[in-house]
Amino acid sequence: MLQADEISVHFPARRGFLYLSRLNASAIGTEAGLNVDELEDLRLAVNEMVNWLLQDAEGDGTVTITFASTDSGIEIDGLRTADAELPERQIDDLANAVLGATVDDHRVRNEPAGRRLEMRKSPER
Amino acid sequence: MSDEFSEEERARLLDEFASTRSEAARDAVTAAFLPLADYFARRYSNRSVELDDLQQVARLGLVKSIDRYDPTVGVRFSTFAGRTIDGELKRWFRDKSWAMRVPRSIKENVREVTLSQQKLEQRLNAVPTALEIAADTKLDLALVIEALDARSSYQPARLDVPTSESGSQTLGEVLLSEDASVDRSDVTMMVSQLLTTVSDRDREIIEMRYFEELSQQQIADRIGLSQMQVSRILRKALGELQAAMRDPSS
Repeated sequence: MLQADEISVHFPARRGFLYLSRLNASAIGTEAGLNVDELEDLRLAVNEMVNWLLQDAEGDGTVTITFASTDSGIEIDGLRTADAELPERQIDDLANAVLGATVDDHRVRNEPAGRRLEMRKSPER
Repeated sequence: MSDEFSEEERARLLDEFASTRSEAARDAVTAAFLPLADYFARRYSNRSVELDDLQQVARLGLVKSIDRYDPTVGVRFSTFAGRTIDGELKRWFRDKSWAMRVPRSIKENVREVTLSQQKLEQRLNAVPTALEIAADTKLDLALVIEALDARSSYQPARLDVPTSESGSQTLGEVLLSEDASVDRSDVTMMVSQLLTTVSDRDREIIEMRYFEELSQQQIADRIGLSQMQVSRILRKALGELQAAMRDPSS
């Protein structure tokens, strides 16, 4: 069950739906008090997130992204599931650098349920 | 890369700039990596634009990447700079075509949002939030967010698929028509979704043809097929898209 301040987006694992994630990130980021530069960073981070989640067997399975507006900012949890078992993937150095520069912290996990990337960003003021 | 600079020399110049951040050091790094910028400019020079213009854009990307590069992260500078320069060139192409590709109502909102942001930054001495811009412009918050996204992200309008079975007008014509009665942003979104129904290779070819505006021969050269094969693939893929448009349940 979603919390009152959470929005979850569930879409087929295809890049064509990336814009859904960006628009939701902007909307919830605004709710969380991010300024427009921080929103731009967040959109970049969401791009990297979805690109990582979609590696391997694009079109197979689904992506679920949950956005939560918290007292300290925004938390985003992205999960990719697929019918076939997804190979373990680490995030590449450059994507890691982009995420490191655009969000406060991020964590990738290869789980039995699928591939997961969590990240968090707080407004500066 | 320039023969004038060895790998060691370029690494030393990067280290020097990282520690001093001086203009002289930045100029030296720029000179050392100019061939990288020019290489990326040449990659796009088969289009109807001057190579000089592309080199300027690529070199601006190079300077940005020098300023943003953090050697402690562990990514090679040439990798980081290459992606930045490539992004700068793509953004330049996007901005050139943006005026034609984005519906007029969104363009007006982008202009209003940008002016408001500049005004608020001065007044607040801080970067404003979308809520503050919405309050200042009296625009709905959703329209402000849409404008921010349109300004920063790449949303190509892609196709010349007929909009009806009679096929008298293409989507491209509808999208570009100033007096179109349809909501063009919705059409663009629908086309983006339809593109997800074709194979990866077909989508790549369609995007090269209708977004990057490469000729069939240029596409053929890039992906190693004959021009006739590219022509057949485009015809088949557009046919599938037309079928999908006529039958939304498929």
